[in-house]
Order: sequence, then C-alpha cells, then structure tokens
Amino acid sequence: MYLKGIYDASNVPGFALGSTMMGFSIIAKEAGFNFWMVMLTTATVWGMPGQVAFAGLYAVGASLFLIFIAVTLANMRMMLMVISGANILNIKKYKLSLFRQVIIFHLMAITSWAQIGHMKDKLIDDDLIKYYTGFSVSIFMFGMTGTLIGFYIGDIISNEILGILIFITPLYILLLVVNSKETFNKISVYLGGLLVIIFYPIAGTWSILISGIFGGSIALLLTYKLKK
Amino acid sequence: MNIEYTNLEKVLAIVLACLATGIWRLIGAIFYNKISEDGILIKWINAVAYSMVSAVMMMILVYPSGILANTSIEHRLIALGIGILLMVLYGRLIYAILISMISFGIFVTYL
Repeated sequence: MYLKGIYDASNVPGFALGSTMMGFSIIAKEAGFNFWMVMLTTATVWGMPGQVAFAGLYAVGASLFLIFIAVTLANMRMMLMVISGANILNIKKYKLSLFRQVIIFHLMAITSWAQIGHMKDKLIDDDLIKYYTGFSVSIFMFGMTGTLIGFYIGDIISNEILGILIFITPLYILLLVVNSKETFNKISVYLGGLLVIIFYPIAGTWSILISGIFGGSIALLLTYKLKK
Repeated sequence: MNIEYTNLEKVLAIVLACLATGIWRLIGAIFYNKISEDGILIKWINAVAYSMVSAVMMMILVYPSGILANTSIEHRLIALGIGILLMVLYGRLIYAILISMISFGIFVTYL
C-alpha cells in the first residue's frame, strides 16, 4: 500500500504540487528570501496559502507580527483539514503518541487530504493509513524538489516565462478555494478578493486582515439571512 | 521593493510562520474527536480563513511587486476570470488552470 501511495503521488498530484512550489520559490526569491529560508519555509510551514502570504508580506517589509497573524489566518483551515483527515484515517484506532500524530498531520496538505477523501471507500483503515503515508511523503518530496528547482530556475529562463510561473501559484490557490463546497466559503472568497482591492491602497498589508474578517463575517451573515 | 530584515528577524519570521501553521495542526490533533465540524465558531473561522487566503492572492495579482508587476493588470485579471469561469462551469481544476495559464501566456507574449 505504501508503494501504491507513492505511485499515485508520482502522477498529476506530485507534478501539480511541484510546479506550485516552484512558483512559490520564485515569488519568495523575488521577495528577498535566501536558499535556506525558501527550503525551510516549505519544509516547516507546508501550507501553500500561508507560504505565499509569508513571502508576499515579507516582500513589502511587513512587521513580523502581521506576518504571524497573516500566516496563522491563511493556514487556519489546516485545523479543519486535520480534524477531517484524522476521522477519515481513523487515527484514534492506532493510539499514536501526540508527537507521531503531529508528524503525520504535518504532511497533510490539501492534495493528500483530498486524495484520502477520494480513496477512503476503496481501502480498509489499515491500508488507508499506509497509503496515506506513502502518498503524503512522496508529495512532500515533490514539493521540496519543486522548491529547489524554483529557486534556481529564475536564473536560466526568461522573465516572460517566470511571470507565467509566478502567476500559476495565486491562480491555483484561488481556483481551489473558489471551488469550495460550502456557499458561505465561496462568498467569502469573492468578498475577500474584492475588498482587498479597495482596502489595499488605504491600509496597505493590513488590508489582508481587514478583508479577511469583513469578507468572512459578511459572507456568513449573508448565508444565514438568505437561509431564513 | 525588498526591505532589509536583520538576520535575527529572518530567523524569527520563519519560526513564526512555522508556529503559525503548526499551531492549527496541533489543535486539530488534540481536539479532532472533540470539535464539531458544524459549529458556528468553526464556520466563522473557516469563512475568515477562506476570505483571507483570497485577499492575499488577489493582493499578489492586483498589486504585484517584482516580475509579475511587468505584466498588465488586464491580462492577469482576464486570465484569472477565464479560470474562475471554467472552474464554476465545469469544476475541473486541472483544465481551468491550464487554459487560464495558456491564455495568460498568449496575452503576455502577443498582446
């Protein structure tokens, strides 16, 4: 089952994630990250929206406090992903230590979470966790390789191609979140995107926080009002 | 525009970014059998998270710095619009990304 996970990861999911990390690496290098900062960020954060938020704010010289808040909020959905993923994997059954659980969940990115959701009815619990391990470790390796390539590729390809590669990352994330299952999340995505365009010229990088709180709260309120 | 951070600030920034993500994974690992996925608080947190992710990405696309700033905002937004339209109509991520990316490439190269 480990091998099946590795095999499945070595197709579209691995290459898609590798390209996305390549895009992140190019953005981060442009923002002023050195090689070790880029590699460490991918390895330790391992959550694309937070990584891009980090690089985006670092590029404009934002305060460390704002970086912390932005990355915290941008990767908040990790908690939900872990809650949902733990249930899919039936982690409780294995009585793992908290440390081992944290390692397992550190590897949980959108791709591997979506994959186990897709495979849960096809495999039994014991096979699913082995499959997840093979899949998520491979995806992590693809991500690290993409980050490594992305850091150096900027020196050998033209600015037009680089522009397209940088464009892929925000595009990929926006398309992923716009496809959210719940209506209020979808509305939040549209509102957050629109509000930041208005607030950024006034509030600079704080517009992220303002747009996030206003966008999310209004979306939730609207959804409840419409339901009533 | 790159603003210089000191070496200590660089290290701190990475540690904070790591903690900022790890904390949610840890909370998820501790409370996964206690937190209701349907509660109002979780819904609000989720909505704010989605909204913020979208805000960050739109900030990068609308007010970019560096190489992306050399491309036209119309090209970026039209290509994004194509991707979103395809995603909403067909729900196929890979095709939406490919077509949007190719459109952007064509705009950047030929227009």
